[in-house]
Amino acid sequence: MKLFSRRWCASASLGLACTLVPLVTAQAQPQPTALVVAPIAFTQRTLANGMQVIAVPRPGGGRVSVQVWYRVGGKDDPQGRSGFAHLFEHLMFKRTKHLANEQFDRLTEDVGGHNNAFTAEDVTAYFETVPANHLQRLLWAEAERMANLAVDEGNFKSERDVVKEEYRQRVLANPYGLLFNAIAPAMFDVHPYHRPVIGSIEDLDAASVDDVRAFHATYYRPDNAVLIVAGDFEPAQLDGWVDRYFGPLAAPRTPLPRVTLQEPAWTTGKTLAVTAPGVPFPAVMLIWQAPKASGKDAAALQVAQALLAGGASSRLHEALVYRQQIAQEASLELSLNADAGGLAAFAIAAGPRQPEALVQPLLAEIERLAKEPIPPAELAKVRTQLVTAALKERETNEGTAMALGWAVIKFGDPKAADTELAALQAVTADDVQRVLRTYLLSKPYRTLTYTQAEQKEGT
Amino acid sequence: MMVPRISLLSAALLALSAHAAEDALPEPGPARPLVVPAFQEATLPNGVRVVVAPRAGLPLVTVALQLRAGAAMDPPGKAGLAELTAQLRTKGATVDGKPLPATDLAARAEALGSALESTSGWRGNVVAMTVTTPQMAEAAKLVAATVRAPLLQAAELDRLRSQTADALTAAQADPMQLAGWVARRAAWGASVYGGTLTPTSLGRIRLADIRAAQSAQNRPDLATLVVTGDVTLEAATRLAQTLLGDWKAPRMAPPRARNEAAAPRAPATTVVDFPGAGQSGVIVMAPSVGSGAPERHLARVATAVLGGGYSARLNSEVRIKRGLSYGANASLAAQPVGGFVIAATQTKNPTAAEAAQVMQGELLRLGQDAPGDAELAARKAALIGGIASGIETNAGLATLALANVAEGRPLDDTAQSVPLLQAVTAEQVQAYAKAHWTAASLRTVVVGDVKEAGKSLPALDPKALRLKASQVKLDQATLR
Repeated sequence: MKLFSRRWCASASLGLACTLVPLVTAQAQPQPTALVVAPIAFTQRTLANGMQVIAVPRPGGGRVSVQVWYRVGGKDDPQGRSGFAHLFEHLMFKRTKHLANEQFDRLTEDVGGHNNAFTAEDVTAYFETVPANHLQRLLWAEAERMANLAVDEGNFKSERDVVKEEYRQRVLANPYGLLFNAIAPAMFDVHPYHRPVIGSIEDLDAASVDDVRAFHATYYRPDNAVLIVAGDFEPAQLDGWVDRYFGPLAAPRTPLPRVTLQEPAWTTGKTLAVTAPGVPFPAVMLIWQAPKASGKDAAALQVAQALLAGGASSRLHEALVYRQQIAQEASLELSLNADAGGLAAFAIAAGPRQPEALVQPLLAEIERLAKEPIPPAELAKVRTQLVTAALKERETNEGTAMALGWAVIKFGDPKAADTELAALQAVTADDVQRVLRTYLLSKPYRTLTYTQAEQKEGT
Repeated sequence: MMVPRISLLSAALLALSAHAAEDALPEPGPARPLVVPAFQEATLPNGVRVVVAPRAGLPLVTVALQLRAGAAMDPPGKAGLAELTAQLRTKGATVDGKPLPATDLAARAEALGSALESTSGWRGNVVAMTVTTPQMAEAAKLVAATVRAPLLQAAELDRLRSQTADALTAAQADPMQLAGWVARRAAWGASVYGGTLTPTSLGRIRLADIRAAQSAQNRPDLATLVVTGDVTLEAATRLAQTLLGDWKAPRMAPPRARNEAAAPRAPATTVVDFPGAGQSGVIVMAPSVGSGAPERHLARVATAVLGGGYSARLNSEVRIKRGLSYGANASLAAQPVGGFVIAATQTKNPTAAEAAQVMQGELLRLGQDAPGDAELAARKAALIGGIASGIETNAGLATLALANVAEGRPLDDTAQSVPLLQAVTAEQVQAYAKAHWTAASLRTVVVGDVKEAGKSLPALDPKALRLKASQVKLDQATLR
């Protein structure tokens, strides 16, 4: 998934910033007994107005993470308004009936906490970490902006300019921004996932304050929201505050609109050429269709991804970057969205190579993983890395709540944070080879080349 | 694709639901002070320091071995030697008496759950891993081997050299990245702190230089093992004794940091023309006191008021009020000899000059307009809250200990600094800004598409140094 944050996301390389791909991989020694990760201890309930509430008490530490996940994302952008869900996310930090512009910063940053939000294909999530004595205020404030957002023309225009700068920073200033922005339209034809979550300058310009009001009324309602609180709090006190502030919010009687379009299976492959000014080295990307997040083969594909692209000893890095020295980066991104998925293997050339020269080496590694025996130690390593990554995520209140939030959005059940981890651990070599044959080797794919648009003088 | 329902409905809905919400923001409960976990320490007979911060809960540990050496020791003309040495360390090491080539070492580390992370700072080179508790001893063994017995082979250096050259080319295609490097050189000039790895210095650094750097810093009296998380001081000390106990200090003196004062040679403003840049990178700098100066807490608070957070002055003016950027912030780059506050943002080319002027104005304004009580309290809270966020993870806790060790500060420096930060007054902040952030002391760097920027950019500073991106010489104090 591509995430676009209100502020900065923790940066990663080459425009893959904020994609949540599992870390992972390598070849080596057999592992001792697998470490069992204790399940996340949470409670859940649903208020009468339909809002889902998940509480994760983690006593001590003196801090608490408050998150509200709305089931609305880039896929719900109105027609001709790509990027709107994300623009809207920014506006949720502006005025409400009882809160001034940016008052969320007064309630969080100014008391030693922080806040942010992101928009992905399927979800928009708002999250704050604050000293525990500020929990009640944050619950009040989240309820307030769910109920009483009051956007005006001035705020709207200035924040739209900010989002346009965000677009320029991510897509235009980043030398590989236009390549990664081309993934969505290449991966999906029919499903609204084909529009990049960040949208386009033209569509952002076309948006209006009326669109904002309509979007809030349509999607920002208690029966479309999941409240997650993790950290140092008294459960009974939390329940009381949640009932008091969120309980009175009424869910409209109108049904929630949902995307129901199905992405048809491709019958043929094709090649797409993307060009940009200032491309340091050409790149190539191979794109396949993949199942949705809750599909039965999703876990095996994630392990395949980890074997191919997780770390310096992963298959693609070892072959293309280290041994053959034809690429400076070779990786594979798996987008497991709620409605449909996709998979993108890519390589950025080492030196001035043609992108076509990288296609066969990428395919060869995928084929080798699919056909030749996978050493048990290599699989064991991936399992250890997946467990370690999960534990690292759970070090913080925020990470723990995030794990639950994604489980709700992708699998409809917070317990999936743990059951999916177990499912990943249970994937066998046969599973990996079967899914590679099913979804990659026997299927058409799209080739995306990325090269310099035209020679500009001076650089 | 579903289109939202008519917009007329929304106003009615908003009004309706407003009845339901409670009007008044509740007051916060009683505050609790920030508790920085206490570090425990032991020292091996050969001088290796062992620093531990035990934390109950998850079966996870961060293991880090630091040598007090770094880029401040890079010889003239060979900027990036420490960084390249740090990278080459992970490309093979002797483990259990046997040479383990690069891929095998990476595989063996990754099998433990995470990669060997080798980084180089100005005064600290670190190799670290974060793993589950059962893997701690094995991870520590690999970390120790990578620091003490790297293979440092010619073939691996060739490979690393070519990868690094590509990475530098790619990074220079990003206007903000290039602006950062130009700014560092513009501010520090010929000082070691102006240096960065460039294609030129990369070409000059030989394997012999790397081996010499390794041999000079490979000594127990420069080493600190930091372990945080699911661990005790006893266990970590036992591990250290096993892996590092036989390490002997050489007779020669340890390497010394160059620690040279800033010696800028470029004019106050540098404009780098980068045709086709998708945005401009804009940086404005002003002097700061050194990292060991008595006013260092004051410098941190002043930097926080200027640009430490979303609502700090820079982001308020650049992003919130004017919509010029996705974000503007200030950071402090302080060395023992002095330093700079660095204000940075990215904006579309036509507004590069405006963003630079706004940031210059904010730097100068702090000397005129002292922060209000609420503003100062908020920025201090954000600064101290940042410390609290940083130590939520074992790796973050280790980073904090490593920084204090590298800078020669006591391990409890962070905890001790909280009340000192709290004690800073608005008048002190204003006086500090007035004394250090003067109009004559500002340095500005803009990297962007000059043609697209139009007339405003030449008007920013008629005396500016103007260069094409392809002409910039990061190895030269004059930048050309």
